[in-house]
Amino acid sequence: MTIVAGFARRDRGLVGVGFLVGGIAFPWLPGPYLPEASLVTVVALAFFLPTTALATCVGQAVFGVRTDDEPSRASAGVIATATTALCSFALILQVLVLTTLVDAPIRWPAPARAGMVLLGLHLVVVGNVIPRLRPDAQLGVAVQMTDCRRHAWMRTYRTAGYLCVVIGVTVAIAGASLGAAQIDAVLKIVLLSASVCVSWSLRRVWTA
Amino acid sequence: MDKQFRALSDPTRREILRLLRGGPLTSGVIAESFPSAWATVSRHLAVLREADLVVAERDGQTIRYELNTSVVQDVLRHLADWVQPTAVPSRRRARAREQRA
Repeated sequence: MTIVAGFARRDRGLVGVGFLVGGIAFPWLPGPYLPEASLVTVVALAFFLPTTALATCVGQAVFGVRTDDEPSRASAGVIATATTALCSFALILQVLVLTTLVDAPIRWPAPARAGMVLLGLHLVVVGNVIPRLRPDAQLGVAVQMTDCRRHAWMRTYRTAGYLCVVIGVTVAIAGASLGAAQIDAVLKIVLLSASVCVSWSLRRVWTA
Repeated sequence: MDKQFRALSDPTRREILRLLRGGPLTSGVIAESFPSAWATVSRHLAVLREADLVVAERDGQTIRYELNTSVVQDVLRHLADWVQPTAVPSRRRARAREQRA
């Protein structure tokens, strides 16, 4: 059994840029604690606190290390795409939040809307590759039904991929065009419909 | 991407992908669903495998093929079907379904 680290060089670069952006922006962030803090504290906080890239690193530490004799190695491309999408999403979101907080010269027309559109695009990218995910102990929802039947897993994840893309497109369009109240309502309806569709698909495959 | 478009441009290969939507099939069952020679179907399967649209797994003496398309590739397949309708009669699909059962 060989341990395989699935963190590609481009993802390491993205996370590194994330830390750099966080470190540069941190001294200008609003907050009462900075003037009294020592330089070491500021550097430590700059490195760890404001970076969403840190969350990506933790996620990668959990999901990135895999064994090459697992059946999941067939879906290595899916994991690579999902990781890069997650790193890019975290980095862009971080830049968006930090430039808004520090009142940087770069002005986003509507940061909240841009965040929603980004989330939608992220869901589209990940949803696109979800049908290629093979039965896996680490990634995906491994319930009794999907574990017992490979076909049930594949059919359910194909349905989930389609739904994820539809949700992503809906979130992106809603984020770009609707108000906060309408977005909330649209998200609730879409998520409820998606969970019903996945359950129905799983049940249909199981009872077939 | 070129390989994928090339693979999706052929109606027989799109029909194979449609058959595989029902679940993994052996190369023998897939070949029986088409009037062409086994070697021709095997070549089609090789093109699909090369484009990463299907994955092949050896199961004893047989090779099982499983669908490996993404959502966008599925949509492209539907689009190709819509633009260039396939001439494969539907009873072949029914026969394949019976064989799977």
